[in-house]
Amino acid sequence: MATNFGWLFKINKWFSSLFKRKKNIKLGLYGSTNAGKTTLANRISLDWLGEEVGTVSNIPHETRNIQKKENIVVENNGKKLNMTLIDTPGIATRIDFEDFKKYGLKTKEAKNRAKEATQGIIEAIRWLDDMDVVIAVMDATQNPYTQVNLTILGNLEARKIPVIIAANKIDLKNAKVKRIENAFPQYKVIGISAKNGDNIEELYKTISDMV
Amino acid sequence: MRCSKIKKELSLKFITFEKFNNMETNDMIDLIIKETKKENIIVIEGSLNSIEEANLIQATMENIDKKFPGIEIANLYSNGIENLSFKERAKIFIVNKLFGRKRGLTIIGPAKLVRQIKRNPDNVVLKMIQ
Repeated sequence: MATNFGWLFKINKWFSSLFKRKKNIKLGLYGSTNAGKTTLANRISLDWLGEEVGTVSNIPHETRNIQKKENIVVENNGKKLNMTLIDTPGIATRIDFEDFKKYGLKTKEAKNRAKEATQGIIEAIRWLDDMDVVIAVMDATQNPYTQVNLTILGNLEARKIPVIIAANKIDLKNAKVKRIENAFPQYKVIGISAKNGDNIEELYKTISDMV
Repeated sequence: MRCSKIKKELSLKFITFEKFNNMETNDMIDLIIKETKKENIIVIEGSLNSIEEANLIQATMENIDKKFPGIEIANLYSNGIENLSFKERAKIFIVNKLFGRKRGLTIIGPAKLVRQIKRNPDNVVLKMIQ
């Protein structure tokens, strides 16, 4: 249990600054599968609402539908800020139901998961146009220079949607934030651990500076 | 095991920049899906833009079934322009204005055969499924 409540002050400050500029924002989380998008969504939602957004699993494509938290509403000096947090299914170019069976799923379950995952990806791409700000979540233990990451960033750039890269999983020994910074020098990269909450305040501050 | 028969031949379909430049996006995506379903690897002498890449992913998802688990793609030009010098960017801008689509190199393989397309600074490695 943390004894230092400085983070509360920081969150409040971030929220105040966010409020002054834009009353409603849609904050989207995009990335490859198992990058930690839902873990981050849960972290943000827990910080503000005290409840989670979705379930987390090590089986790829656990999130197969768009998940929203629409009721992140805060009053500040009589004015309201409404932030909708949108957690999206992981983008992929391949989905093989056989891969899910390696995680112990039965054939029927695996096929259903694959079918739902394909629909989730289509839906996630459709939602791109609706976002005000996007956090591109990347697994800092993996090579970031993948086609999926490039496609996501390229699409956000084409739509002129502000983007922050969250280099997630810095709690793991083999995480390399610098590798992501080197791959995408034109973007703001913040190393975080969505699981432990490390450096989340820095992420909030960056969002507030953007909107 | 689904892939019981080892494929002895690997076919590469090459699409020249001239052909690529004259194709509508939907026709290009249809061609990519059709060829990858036939387990061919496609090499395009050009670069899909980001929106086309997203459209291709959507089309791929719509086509996935037990015989077609998707694609692996490496667009070697994708987003690379930001790291280029002003002179290099200006040159590409002029070429694009003159010729329409972007020159570059795109490699697309069927996920049934290609496990991963890995980009390195000076080469591309296609890791095949054994």
